[in-house]
Amino acid sequence: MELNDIRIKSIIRDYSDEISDKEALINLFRKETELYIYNFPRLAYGKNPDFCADFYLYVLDRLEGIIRNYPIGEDLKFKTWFNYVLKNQMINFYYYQTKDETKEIPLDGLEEQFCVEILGTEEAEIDEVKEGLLRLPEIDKIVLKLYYMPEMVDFHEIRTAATHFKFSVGEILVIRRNLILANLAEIRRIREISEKLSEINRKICEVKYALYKNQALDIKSKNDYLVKLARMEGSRFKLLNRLKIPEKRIFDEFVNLFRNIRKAHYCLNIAKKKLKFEILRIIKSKEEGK
Amino acid sequence: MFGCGKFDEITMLMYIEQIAGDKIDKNADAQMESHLMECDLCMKEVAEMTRIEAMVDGGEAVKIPAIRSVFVSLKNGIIDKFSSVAIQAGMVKALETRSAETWGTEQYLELIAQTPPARIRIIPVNNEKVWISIDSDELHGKYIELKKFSGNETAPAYYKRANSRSLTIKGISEGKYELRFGDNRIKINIKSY
Repeated sequence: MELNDIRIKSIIRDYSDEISDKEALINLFRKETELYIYNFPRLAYGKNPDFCADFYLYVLDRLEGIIRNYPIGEDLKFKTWFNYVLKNQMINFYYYQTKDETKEIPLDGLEEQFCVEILGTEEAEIDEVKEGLLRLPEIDKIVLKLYYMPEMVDFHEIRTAATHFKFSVGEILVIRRNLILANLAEIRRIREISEKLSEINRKICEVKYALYKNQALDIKSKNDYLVKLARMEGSRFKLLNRLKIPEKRIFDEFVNLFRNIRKAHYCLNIAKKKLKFEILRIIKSKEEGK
Repeated sequence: MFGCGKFDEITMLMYIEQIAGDKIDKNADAQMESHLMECDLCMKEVAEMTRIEAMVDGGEAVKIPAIRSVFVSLKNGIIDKFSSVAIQAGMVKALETRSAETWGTEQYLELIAQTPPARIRIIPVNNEKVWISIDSDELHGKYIELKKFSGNETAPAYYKRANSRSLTIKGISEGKYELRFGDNRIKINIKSY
């Protein structure tokens, strides 16, 4: 999601002019930023549309203050500063809504993806995966989190990773950022393929139904239908294969952590095996406890 | 103040911008690096900001739905301000003033509903309560529901079939509500100061 840096800065500059039409400029500013404000809680914290709408209204009431506080003289992208402002507004809004003073905004809906992605199954509950991760050696836990859920890596883990992999904190943050972007691209890719698949499935059903319904069709028409069906089945097969092969980009970014492809493969697989083993132990001990 | 405050906001945001642009200079940022290894507050903030930056950068925006909601703020028994989004959605017609004799109050906020067409008025009674009045030619026989979201209420604050062209729901205190009748779903958020 992008913001027009030049345009927004020019609006803010005009706003600081004493004789400017403030209301018109606030409206222009709103038009440039409203999509960004509305989507911010959803993208940054996984919040639902209702929350996004409420947050949007909350921020719109504070636009004037936001414009006034922007440090126009600094060589800083508006987007970087705006993210910081929106994050603080989210904390205030969250406190205003929940009266929870811990000021930790939960990342809704993001944790659940974790167990399916690591284990390839929904059998394990998120609590079991969390417990399993806690039982792992620190580096295995970080490796798994960086690969599958880089947005869940906390600041302690970033420091540990920097020390262990002999990188600076900044470099680890860059790697994590690239992994987040690669993961988001992968989610988009899977979503697009799934949409295409459901569209093809719908068409296949239509053709099959037409064949079943019109049994009195002549042989040429039936053949046409069958050719169409075969083509669509072929496309579906290709899409299914694309779905099975994971995007290389995530691994390419992940390798930067190890500077060695084989080592990266090895460490990731070992960490996965250890986690599966721990989860099985947890499930077993729970069953025995019953 | 960003983190512990050792570095000012702009310096920290510049550093975050460098991470976003993959332009980390190990030598130039040595002071920052050593501080981040020591200071939990700053490290936490930088980690969170870089996470947010990446998530928002890589995410796709969705269109803003037609938000049928209005935020009404009461101060000293009058409507001090209301959400501008409602105006943009063509929902708020006007903030009009009526005589005290007619309404028992000096002010109301008028909303326009579409399905069925209706005129909704939010009338402040005192600093804590408002009345909601609905007028519509198609109101008769329709169920009117006002559901409160805040608090632990399970039953709606108001639920009744209208037996005329207009009705008034009285004694509405501050909180978040959803007003439903016909296909209209209007969120009303009342806050008093």
